[in-house]
Amino acid sequence: MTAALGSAVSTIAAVCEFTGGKRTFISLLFSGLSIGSIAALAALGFLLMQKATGVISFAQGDMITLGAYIAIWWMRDQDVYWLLAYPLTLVMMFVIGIGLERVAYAPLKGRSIHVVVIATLGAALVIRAIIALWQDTTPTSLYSPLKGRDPVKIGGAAIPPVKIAVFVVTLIVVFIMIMVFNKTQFGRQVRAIASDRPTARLHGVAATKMSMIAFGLSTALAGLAGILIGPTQSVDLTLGFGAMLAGFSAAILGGFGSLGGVVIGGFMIGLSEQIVGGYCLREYKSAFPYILMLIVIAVRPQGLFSRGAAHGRL
Amino acid sequence: MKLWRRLIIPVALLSIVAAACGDDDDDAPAADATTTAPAGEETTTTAAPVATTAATTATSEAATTTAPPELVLDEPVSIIGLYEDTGESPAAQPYFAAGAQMAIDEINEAGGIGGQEVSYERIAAGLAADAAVQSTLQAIDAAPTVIIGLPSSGQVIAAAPEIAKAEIPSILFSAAPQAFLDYEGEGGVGNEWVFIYRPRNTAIAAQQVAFINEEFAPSKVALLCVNNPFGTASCDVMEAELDALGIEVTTRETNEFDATDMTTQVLAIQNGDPDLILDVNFPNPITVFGNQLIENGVTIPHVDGASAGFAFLSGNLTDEARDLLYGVEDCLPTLQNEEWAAKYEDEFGAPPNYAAAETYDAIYIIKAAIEKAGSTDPAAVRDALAETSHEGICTTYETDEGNGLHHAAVVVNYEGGTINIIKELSF
Repeated sequence: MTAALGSAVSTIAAVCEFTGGKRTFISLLFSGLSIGSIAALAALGFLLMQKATGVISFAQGDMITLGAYIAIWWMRDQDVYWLLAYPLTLVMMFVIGIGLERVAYAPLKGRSIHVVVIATLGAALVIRAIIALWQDTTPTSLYSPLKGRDPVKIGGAAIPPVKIAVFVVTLIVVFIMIMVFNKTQFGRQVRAIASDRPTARLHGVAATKMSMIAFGLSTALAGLAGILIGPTQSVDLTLGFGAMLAGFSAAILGGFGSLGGVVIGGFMIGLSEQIVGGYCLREYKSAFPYILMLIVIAVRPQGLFSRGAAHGRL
Repeated sequence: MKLWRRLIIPVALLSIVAAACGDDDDDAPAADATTTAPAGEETTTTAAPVATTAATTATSEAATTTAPPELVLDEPVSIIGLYEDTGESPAAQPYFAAGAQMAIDEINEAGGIGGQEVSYERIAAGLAADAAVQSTLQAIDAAPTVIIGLPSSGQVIAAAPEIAKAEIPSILFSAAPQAFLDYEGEGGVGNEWVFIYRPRNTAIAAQQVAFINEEFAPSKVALLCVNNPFGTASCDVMEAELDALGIEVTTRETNEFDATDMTTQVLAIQNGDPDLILDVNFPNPITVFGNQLIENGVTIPHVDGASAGFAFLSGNLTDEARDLLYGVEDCLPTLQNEEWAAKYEDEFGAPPNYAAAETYDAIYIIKAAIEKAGSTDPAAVRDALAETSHEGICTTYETDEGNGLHHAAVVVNYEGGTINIIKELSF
């Protein structure tokens, strides 16, 4: 036992460089929380849609991209102030989500679930092509009032305000979502559908309406993720792809079981990439979240936060 | 079994592959961003003295006066361009198509080549290697006089063998060392039918080191390399050049072409306390990295390649990050040939970049080669291309022993929000 422990410590010492002290750790921590926040938002979108409709939408990544481009369109092309442009973007994304439900999901009711999933992939390609024709493919930028502001000093580390904002906004959204799903009639109805769709319908739950709202909310969450990550990099057609992968992985870590589970899954994705990857084998850091995901699939296929057959819970 | 469970394994594998593998498309307009354009070129010879602004004003018409005026061709002249135009993919840029079209229109208005109107067709060649091969085979089927295009190294490496088999003279746009005829390592695809019109990545890398040594005289340098053959090959050259100059490499970091957070790289570089950063990257990572350097209080020069221009144009760099950024451009027509740049902007409504100028030049190089060959016979045109000496928009193209045509570049910075030429390079 002692020998194995010693061997593990030697291996870690060989591949990891614990340099930079507290400053480096705090920087990596906030970076991980910021990346994890975006993954959590994307995962929430996956979870919400999957629970209400049974569908996993692979258009989620392009919806993130679309959200950023719509915000750019409001502010740059329509000259709308950011404080109004951001909510308008979310409203538009909600409506687009409902439209997607009508076009890519409703007509396929009764078909194999695989057909519906492929339809969401098709929708993703259509959305990407529309963005390219509408806004061009040249990388552009999304305004944020926090972009370029002086970093906040925490424990000697310089933390960009944008990263702090991403984390705080995500926490607020998660809190609101938990309240909505636990305290409102809508939440109870979605949970009922997730638990037992036929029985819920027999009890008068309007499954079609729930499905439309779930698509709308899920798409609005994607739009919010787009607004949050857009200012941190150049905006182009691939903006949302990485976030979608991270979100899907977070949902798997959380076991597609509970809202809190996928959020924690999101933060695990971000922190494993930044903290583990920040100190050990930095060249492979972007693979760490997915290695973690594979380990979880192998060891606990129902996810870290699901309890056996309790997948119907939200 | 629940759907999500069935999907887990394939999606997990895809995720691993996507996360762990870099893109080979160093040169092409990125996706990376996004938009990509590689940097760098070949082995060094001499660096031209510092120049501040523009230079060549010669137009291509003046440059193509080598044609025997009495040339009359019996056979048609056709050129196929293998590149995308705006909207055809996330990486697509308008410059290749626009530059070629501008030259074709001028040539046809002036009577064509040897009395023959030049027939020109563009085939959208995707960045993926298989898509590039498919487009190349489609072009080969049409049996054109010359093929041009394939902006990415991955495309050229995949398609060059097909061109060799078809024996069609071609001017391709990759800057990867493997695409040149005199490449001696494994995986070389250069052949007598393929001519390359961009400067070699590795040559640019060596020139960048020479530049920073002269300009900044650093004692410690950090390297940041995008994780693909372009980044690795260029950084290997830089590391060797730095070593030869006695400059310490404090850190060598890598990133994926689609990286959206560079905190780990910034912190590792900061902990090494370098005087300067040499970066071989794609536009979006340059933007993220540049901004995060400033956020972390790292205010040292950040020298990148051709992608720096795309990062600058994206408008996403903070002022401080922008002012510390340096780039290398094959050609900067708006400063090096203002007359031509103005003409281009009149026609297309936006200023040209190096890709537009080089594609424009490529068409005129073909014209000169056909006129020199006196026919459209593939072997004769190939042999004429091997003796090219053509004054283009920014530089004079001369064929070297590797079938490389382009031997110049400019180091620029973006201080104050304008592009400024710091030094002209030639090799």
